[in-house]
Amino acid sequence: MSAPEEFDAIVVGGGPAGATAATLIADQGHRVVLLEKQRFPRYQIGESLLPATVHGVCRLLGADEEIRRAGFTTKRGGSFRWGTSPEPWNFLFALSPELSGPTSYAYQVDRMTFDDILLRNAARHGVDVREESPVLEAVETGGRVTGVVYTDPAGARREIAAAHVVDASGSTGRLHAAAGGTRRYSEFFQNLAVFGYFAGGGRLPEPDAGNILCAAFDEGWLWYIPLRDDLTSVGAVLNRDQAGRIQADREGALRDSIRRCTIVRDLLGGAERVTEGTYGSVRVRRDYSYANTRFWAPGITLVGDAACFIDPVFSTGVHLATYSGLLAARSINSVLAGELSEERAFGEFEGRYRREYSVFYEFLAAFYDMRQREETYFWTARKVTNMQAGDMQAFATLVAGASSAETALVGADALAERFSSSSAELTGAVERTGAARTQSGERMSELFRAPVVADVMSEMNRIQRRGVTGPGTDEAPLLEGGLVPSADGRRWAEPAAPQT
Amino acid sequence: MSENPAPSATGQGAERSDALTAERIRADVEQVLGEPAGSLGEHDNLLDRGMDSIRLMSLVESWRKTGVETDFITLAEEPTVAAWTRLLLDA
Repeated sequence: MSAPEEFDAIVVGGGPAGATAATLIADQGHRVVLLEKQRFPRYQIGESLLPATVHGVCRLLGADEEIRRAGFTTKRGGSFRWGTSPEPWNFLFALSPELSGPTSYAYQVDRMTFDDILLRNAARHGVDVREESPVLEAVETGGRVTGVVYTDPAGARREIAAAHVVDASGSTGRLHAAAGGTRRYSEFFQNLAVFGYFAGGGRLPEPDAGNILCAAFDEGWLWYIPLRDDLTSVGAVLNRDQAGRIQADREGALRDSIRRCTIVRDLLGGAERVTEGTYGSVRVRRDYSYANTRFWAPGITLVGDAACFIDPVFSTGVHLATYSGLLAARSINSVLAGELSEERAFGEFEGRYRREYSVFYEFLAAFYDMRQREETYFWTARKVTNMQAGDMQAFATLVAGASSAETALVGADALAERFSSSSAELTGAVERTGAARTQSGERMSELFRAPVVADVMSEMNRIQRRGVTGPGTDEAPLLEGGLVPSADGRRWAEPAAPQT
Repeated sequence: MSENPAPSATGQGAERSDALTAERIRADVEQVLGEPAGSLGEHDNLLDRGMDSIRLMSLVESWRKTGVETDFITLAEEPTVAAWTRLLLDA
């Protein structure tokens, strides 16, 4: 092979995490190549977005106008048939009907279109996008990742070099091993999803017609996503012990779940499942929650599903992807500019990313712990009280990463207690909020005040605010002794001296 | 979205290091709403004057930087200059 081509950064994977990181690095004038194994547009699951992605990251990327024009379904929140009440309740993005704002909505997106918009936008921002270019392995030199080997569309093996490699290759990529860590799966949330698409299907009454509906039933829960007027995405999240039954008859497993979940069954009515084209198959995915013990090593950074994944119930996939892409770009830009050491810059990346993962994980634990109408195996197995000390330690390590595993071990008991109280507070807040489209059910102050929800919202709110208010938005450090975003939001800066 | 709040909502106002006073609370609110100085009544409902979630978040962030303990929900429940002055300064 001839001397490798050289770049400032190589991004592996063209989904939202990779496209975000690549665009924001290229925006600073750096040479960026993005290697994608498939040719876009391509199918992907994870269709429900959160406001931080739409109004925060997409604005930074300069893609918000194009996304607005794409005509995606607008969601004002999530509707849940979850817990003891037979009536669905709402988790809305706006605090109240009076106090909404320019960011109080998100979209349901067909990922073929959405991901393609972000990838083409990256190319317009100067990223050298190479599709049908699967990466084979990382190149390491003296304990540092210095490049990758990939296959070009003609089948030729090529080596390229860069100061930084970003692994955004998703849950099935193998490059993450080059960061030197291992992937730890949660013992607790080893769910399987079986999903397909229906032509038509009913809608919740306005103004909730665009919401995602998550509906619990005895053996798991269903998502019901109004993708377009004539297309609904429906998936069943089941325990992993159903794997054999699902593999034997995917369609039967999905239909059986729908039959057992009254609200979804009634909404679907006589709608036919789509059987042709991209949306024509019933697919299965392992939705185990996991995180890698290392999110970065010299020369390589993990983002999106390559780093971690959390259960689909909160529509967090694209949020964690674009958020981590933003964090990684800030760190790489700061190091390339010679402004920060790698330890400092990537320490901030990892600290913020793990914090975001852990607050959602705690929310997840509290959410699955809520009392259901039927206390079946699926639900009792997911009670916080059934978490063993070992599960807690595993979680604490997973959240803390390799760097602070020792602190994690002592925290297991305290963690179990905190999860239990988070769950109780959440249950109370849901009860006080009440059913969707009632006066109390339109007001989110009870829910937003629950500590576990407040933790989940805080960083997402900052991202949205920066998207709306633009350059110069001031932020306090998120982490103790940590950094703040630079004025342009694309690098890190040391915080100004504290005011007294 | 092309909705752009007044430039003041970007938080430049918060770079001032002065401590929080009743005068500053009023001035900051008028600034994010793009209202002329002295135009807001103590008890005007700020939601009727154009206060939205992003503007409120900006205020919370900048007031927190002066060392006061407050949050979005607390301020949202009583959206008047009088209530905010009480909540922020009488703690």
